[in-house]
Amino acid sequence: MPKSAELLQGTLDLLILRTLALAPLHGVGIADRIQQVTKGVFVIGPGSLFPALHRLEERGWIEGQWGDLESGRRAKFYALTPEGKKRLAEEKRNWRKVATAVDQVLGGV
Amino acid sequence: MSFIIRAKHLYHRWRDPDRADADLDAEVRSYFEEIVERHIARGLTPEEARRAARLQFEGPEQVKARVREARMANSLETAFSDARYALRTLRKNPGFAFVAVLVLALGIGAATAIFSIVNAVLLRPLPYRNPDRLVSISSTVLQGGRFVPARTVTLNEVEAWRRLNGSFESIGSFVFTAFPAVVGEQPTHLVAIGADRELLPTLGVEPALGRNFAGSTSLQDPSVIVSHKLWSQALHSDPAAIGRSILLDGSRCTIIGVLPADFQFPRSDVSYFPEDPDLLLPIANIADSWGRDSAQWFAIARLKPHVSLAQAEAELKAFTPRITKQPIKTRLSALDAETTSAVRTPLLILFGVSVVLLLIACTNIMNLLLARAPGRSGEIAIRASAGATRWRLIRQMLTESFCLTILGGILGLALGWSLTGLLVRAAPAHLPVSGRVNIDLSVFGFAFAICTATALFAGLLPAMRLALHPWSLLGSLGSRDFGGRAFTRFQHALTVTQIALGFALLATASLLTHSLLRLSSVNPGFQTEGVLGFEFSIPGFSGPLPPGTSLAKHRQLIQRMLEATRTVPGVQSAGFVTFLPPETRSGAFVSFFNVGQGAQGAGTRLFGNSQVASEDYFKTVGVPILRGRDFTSADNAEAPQVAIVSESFARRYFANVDPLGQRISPFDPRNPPSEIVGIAGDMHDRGLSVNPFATVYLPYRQSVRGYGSIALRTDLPPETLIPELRARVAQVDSTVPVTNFTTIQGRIHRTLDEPRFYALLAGACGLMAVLFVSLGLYGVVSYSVSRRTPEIGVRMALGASRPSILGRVLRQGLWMAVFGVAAGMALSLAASKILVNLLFQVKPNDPATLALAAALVLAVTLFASFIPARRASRVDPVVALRHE
Repeated sequence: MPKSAELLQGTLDLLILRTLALAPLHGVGIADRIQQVTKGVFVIGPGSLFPALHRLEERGWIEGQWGDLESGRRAKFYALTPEGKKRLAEEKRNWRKVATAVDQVLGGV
Repeated sequence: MSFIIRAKHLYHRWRDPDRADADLDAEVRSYFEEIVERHIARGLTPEEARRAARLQFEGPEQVKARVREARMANSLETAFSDARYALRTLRKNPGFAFVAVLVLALGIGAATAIFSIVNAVLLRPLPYRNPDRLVSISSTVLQGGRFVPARTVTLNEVEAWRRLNGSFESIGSFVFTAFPAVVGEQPTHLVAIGADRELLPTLGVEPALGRNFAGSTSLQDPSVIVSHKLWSQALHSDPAAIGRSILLDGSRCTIIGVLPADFQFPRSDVSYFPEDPDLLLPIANIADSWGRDSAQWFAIARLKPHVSLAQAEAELKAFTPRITKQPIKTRLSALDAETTSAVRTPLLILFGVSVVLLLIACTNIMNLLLARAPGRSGEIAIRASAGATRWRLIRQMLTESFCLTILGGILGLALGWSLTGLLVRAAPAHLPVSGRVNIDLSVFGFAFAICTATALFAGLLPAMRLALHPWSLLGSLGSRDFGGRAFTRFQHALTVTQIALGFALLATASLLTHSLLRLSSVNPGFQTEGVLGFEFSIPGFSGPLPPGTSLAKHRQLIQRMLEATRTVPGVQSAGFVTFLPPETRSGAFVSFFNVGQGAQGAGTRLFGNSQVASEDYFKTVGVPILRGRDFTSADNAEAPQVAIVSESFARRYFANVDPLGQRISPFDPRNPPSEIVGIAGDMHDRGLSVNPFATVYLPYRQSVRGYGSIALRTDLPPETLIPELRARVAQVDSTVPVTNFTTIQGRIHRTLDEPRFYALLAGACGLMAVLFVSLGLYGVVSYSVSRRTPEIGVRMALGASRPSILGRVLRQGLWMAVFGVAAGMALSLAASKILVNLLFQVKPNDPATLALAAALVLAVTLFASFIPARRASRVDPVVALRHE
């Protein structure tokens, strides 16, 4: 599977939190959604998605629950916790600062 | 909050690891199935769809493993990766790492070594049963007509307390002494404790072999209990040694017991025998001849349960004067406090010094870490933006200071371990150590605790600074203007504190050294060079004379030994004296009675230190006979009794009358008097720090029993005479143990052991402190120079001269040094009281010493800021400005 862009760990967390802010989703749903929104820049494989999901759950920012898919199969759905909502807001602010700063640095060279 | 959630997850997984795994398994499988389904929906056969999904999936097992890794991420694993990262960072700055680890190792090593002594002496409980219930009883002794506090009691008091008190389980009494003895074949000299049978049970110690004394305190009993050392060395650890007899002071005694190997006698008074005792003998054997009513005995009592020290003391105070009919004040002190009272203050001061040194080392590391912060702000900001939480960042930064401290700590512990060995060898012989000075669990714990404290103290602030505001640093990413004025001010305050502490340590060390120099330059009143001496004891010098000997025989023996000594080639003169100077246990205080027609009238009590001497003794040790005459060989038992008194004795008791011709009687006015025939110069015969005592010398032919020393003067190196002396003295009588060949110089050196030990330790700490302080200042000034390089470039471009740049930077360092020294001066003056008792003829605020310390600190700090200042003055403005 070709990697479309190198993903920083923090960035993936941010993307997942942002995706779940809209609605609870299961694993495949999250990956689809990120690929869709970033217009194919980021393609998330399960090898990075699952560790990220579990790390976020470990920190209490998202919570997983088993539910039914339309097909009738069971899947684990993840939802943002109140903690996670706060975290998302913070991460967004930080990201903007980093982006601006890095832009400045890049622009300055 | 998230912490609780994390703990909850952790708990669930721990309680039911299978379920957590099954859950993950199901989740991964569901994901896989969905991808397969998608491929089928796109028109692949189920077989093809599965293969495509598998290709895309990178293996379910790997995925699961990575999830488990991610879960672990906040525990051990991160710690390791943090440590790896920290070590890598340190490897990239080997200079910084080297200096930091070295500073920490020195600080931790010094603190650990000194703590190991404090631990063994002050903290470890005494090696007895329930040592906290043991008290030492002390009384007052009649001295110069007044009752002054003493650490001793009379045996009659002990008897009365035993009968009447309700506070003690038991009271043991004892005294230090020494005897000539024959154990096996060899005549030796043994340090002995006269003890009653209650002493060992009071301490809670039982003989390892055999039994305790059985007799009462009034019956003579020819039994001894030997130390484990004597038993294993002279008796070859033979269990059958019980029942064997040894010759003690000419009398036959039976060994009835062996003390345990780890038994230590409470060293209640450092001025008696620093050596561990070789044996215990019943106190009754010497009680009568030494005087039951003279306050020279020690008493240790065990408090009854639920009786406090204060209650027991109140009780004793109430009834002791009633029994003794004398205004005696009895005091109780906890045995451990009593045994360590002499060394407590100096040891605590040294410990304080080492802790301050460690504190300086810590601030040094803190300063170095802070100075490195700007260089790392970019890295930290990137880590923060990559999702690292604050806690994570702080932890990462702390891991770095922990790595430094662990490295420093390991090195420091090794250093402390070897230092401890050195310290023990350098320590004064009578340090009241419980057990052995070693690195035990509590020293280890202490080292661990200070390492942790150091890492937190040195690392937390720089870590918080970086981690809490990573974003604020970003605006200035790459720029040198980091932190602003508040930060700089803090860093400077830290440096000033460091200089202040360093100055205080150096001042302490200088004061102790100054005091040592003062002490060693005291004129002792006797010649120190070319004088050698040795001790001997003739069996039967205490207690009843063994059959076949007499006092006359003793005196003849001494005369023959003196004559033998004089025949050794190289000996110019030789004389007999009870105790060679300087000797802390020199002589005994004796009351003399003025029986002449002195100004103070007949019958007046005169107190003097009593020594026995021979003709030529004064000449040999270079003490002048100021008036009258020396003893002669004619001053024998048949001749009229005579005495020589010291200058201070004469001045004190015969101020208005010519002392020559006055007559004094020892112990009792009815005893035959001695006429004063000479006045000898004063001498510091109890050590240089002790003022000369009023002393009475009696001629040995009229008053000695067989214990004493012979001093001899020679032009040759004194040590070269020892073999010949030994041989000739042995020819006189091979049963007389001759021991302790020492030069007077060596003896003086030994009395300075203790002040030298303290001065040496404090000095080492003081010098290290100055080194650390200059390193700290160097770091701060260098940092500031590197930060200001562009500014310096601009100044130079605008025409500032190199000297003016040099001056600017130097001034910055100088200001900190001046502030630091001023604060340190205030600190030393405030703390000066605790030093008073350790100083000899030096005031703790001695201006010259403090000025010297200040000058040294200023010079060193100036030098430390000179190096970066010179670098600043050599900045090339073109290069500096291009950097901007």
